[in-house]
Amino acid sequence: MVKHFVLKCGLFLLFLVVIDKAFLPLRNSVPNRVSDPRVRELLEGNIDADILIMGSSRGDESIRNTELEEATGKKVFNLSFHGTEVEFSTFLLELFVDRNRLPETIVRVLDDPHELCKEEYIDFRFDLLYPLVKYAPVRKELVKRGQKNWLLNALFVSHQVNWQAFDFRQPPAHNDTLLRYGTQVELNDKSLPKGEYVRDSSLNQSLELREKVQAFKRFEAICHERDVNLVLALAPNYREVTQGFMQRIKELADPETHLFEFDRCLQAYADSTCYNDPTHLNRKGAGLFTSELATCLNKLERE
Amino acid sequence: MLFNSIDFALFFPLVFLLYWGIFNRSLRWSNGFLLISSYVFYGWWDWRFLFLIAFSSLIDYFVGQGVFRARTQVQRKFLLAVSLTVNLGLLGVFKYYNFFIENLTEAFRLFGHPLEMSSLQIILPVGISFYTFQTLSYTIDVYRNEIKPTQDIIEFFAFVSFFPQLVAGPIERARELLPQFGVKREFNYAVAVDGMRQILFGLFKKMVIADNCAVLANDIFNNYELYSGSTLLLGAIFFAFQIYGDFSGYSDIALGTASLLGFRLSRNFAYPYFSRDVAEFWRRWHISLTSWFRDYVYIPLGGSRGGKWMAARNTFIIFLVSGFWHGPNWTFLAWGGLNALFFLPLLLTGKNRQHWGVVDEGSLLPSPMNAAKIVFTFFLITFSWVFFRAENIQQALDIIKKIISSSLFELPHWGRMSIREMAVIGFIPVFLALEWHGRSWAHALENFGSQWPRPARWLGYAAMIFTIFFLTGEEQEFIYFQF
Repeated sequence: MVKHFVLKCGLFLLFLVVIDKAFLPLRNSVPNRVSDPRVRELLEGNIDADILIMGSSRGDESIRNTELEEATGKKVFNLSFHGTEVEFSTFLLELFVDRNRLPETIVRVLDDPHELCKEEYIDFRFDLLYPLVKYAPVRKELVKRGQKNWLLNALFVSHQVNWQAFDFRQPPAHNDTLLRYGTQVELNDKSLPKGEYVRDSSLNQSLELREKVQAFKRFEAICHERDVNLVLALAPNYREVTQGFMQRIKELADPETHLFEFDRCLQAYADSTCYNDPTHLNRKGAGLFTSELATCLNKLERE
Repeated sequence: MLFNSIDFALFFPLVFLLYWGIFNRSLRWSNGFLLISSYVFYGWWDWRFLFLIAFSSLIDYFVGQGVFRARTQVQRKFLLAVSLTVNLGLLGVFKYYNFFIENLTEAFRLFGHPLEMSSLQIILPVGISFYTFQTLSYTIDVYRNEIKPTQDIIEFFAFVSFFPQLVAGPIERARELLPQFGVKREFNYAVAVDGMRQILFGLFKKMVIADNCAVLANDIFNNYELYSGSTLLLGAIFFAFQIYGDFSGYSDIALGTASLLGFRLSRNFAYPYFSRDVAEFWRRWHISLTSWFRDYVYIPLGGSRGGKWMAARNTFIIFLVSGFWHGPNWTFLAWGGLNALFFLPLLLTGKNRQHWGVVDEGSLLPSPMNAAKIVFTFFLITFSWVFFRAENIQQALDIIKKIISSSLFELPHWGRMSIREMAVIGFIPVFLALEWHGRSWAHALENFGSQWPRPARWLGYAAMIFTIFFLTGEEQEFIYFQF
């Protein structure tokens, strides 16, 4: 009886594995339905840029890509994603360097003060990866990070895909510059109302996470191993820069890494009309910062 | 080890094959093997706490023997007191120590006498509330001469630590489960197949219903300040399904796993959301705990023998104790108290036993009267879940204040719904329909599709498994592990 039962279970498992393969077309079609195709393009090796911008929303909203292209004469692509942190950027960079033409320079826009700490609003964005399980490195990463199970992932296509694969609705429209420059949001002219936006202004190093520090170092190592210039850039906030933040970055950064900070003496940055919200620049502020960054990159080029 | 983990998916088939293939030839070997498997299962989480289970088992094994052999009532009482002190003492230290210290300190501070007592950094051993109650029931039953103590220490240790129900119940009575360790188990094909179906339905409840409702309920409860009364009510409803799917799902997996090993565990849930009043709900929800409190607290306190007011007092006590059993937080006490308040009118008017049996048995739909009663009871219970889910009393009151405000009539807040959210909302009626259809069975899949040809039946099971795969994220613990 036990043998009969075990045999039936085995047969059912086989039945399951076989009919599961019917989900392959579904899994393979999901990448064509994503609203932001940048990670897919990266995985397909279609990104061609001389200057690559990486980071979170700070990277996305602090730089005006068209103006940076004009000022540097280089092709720029912005691979910053809202709500992402250094581990996510490092994972993307690892994928990028294996599949795309290497850029001359990578600008990573830092998150002050959460670059190396746990923060509610910046995370490893699994939602950007779920639709891309067609690609083996994405599956591997999801398994590594406990989102998918190694055994089920190996056996079942249906375990690889998740609920997002069933979203056949028209994805939200994105702006035209997304594929050309990688800009995710259109910078706007909204101004921050004047006021006090207070926070703890000194760095609490005890909140640092080892994995984030390791990812930070790995990001640098990938660039340096491939002779890509790395610029770690600090964009302004409508709040004071966290005391000790850049000092900590300097301690961690290799000597070959270039550190670039916005000009703290520039009075315009003290004006709330440069900001969309307390932590993000608007079109006007991003124009100022882009111009500063372009000067820095041109200087690096000459050196 | 979690039932919904790959570790368990590998562990259990191995145990199953070794158990039936090698160890079941001798009763002693098979009990020994179950004991080792149970300790591996528990030790996977934290091996250090195995000593606690072993200690608790050892005390009750010898106390049971002692009580049986004791010549005087004084000796018997003394030994029972030893068991109660050790078991409740362990529970008190690991679960309630910090709660008492914090509240005592706060009370002294309020009266202007600051008290210097520090709380301890204690990890709550998983399942301590369950196995403590199980061993206590053994000693009390021996004391009451309802059972004879076992002479076989392996058998007793295997009974206390039996892995399918070790960490979150059902809380088994010694008189039900212990004798099953004393006889050689026979493999029964039909029972095993039914066990597999019950496990599948348990996983569906946990991973599709509970874990996905949790995403929605957590978002609403964690940001309750931002939401209207209608959205908060929806959050409470999602939590009602979360906790039911989570806990009854666990119980289904436990029962199914045990039946694959030739054991029969007690039923823990009997379609509680189809109850027609709160009294019926409490006969159908977490049955093993409710009946434990009835037998070992309510009846010894006098039950209903002293008239209605004594019954009311005792009912209040067991609801409060039951709330406190869930955890050292005032919210659980409030939840217990609230349920007592819902129960008392039925008790005092003698209507607490008017609904027994299957609701509208044989009918496709409930009668309008029963439907109204079911909905009303569900909302009463959901209302009490707000206290159970809230972080503290203030938060619960804030949420309830909003729910009963005019914002209850606003449209619930909803942005662009994700497919996951749509699926959850879609699956709740499917789940309820399955439960309604199977409400006269031991579990909803017991006879579901039994007349269908095998390919159709297997496709049905496959569809459930694929749904579990699609809607699953990270492995999530069962809520009742924290109790």
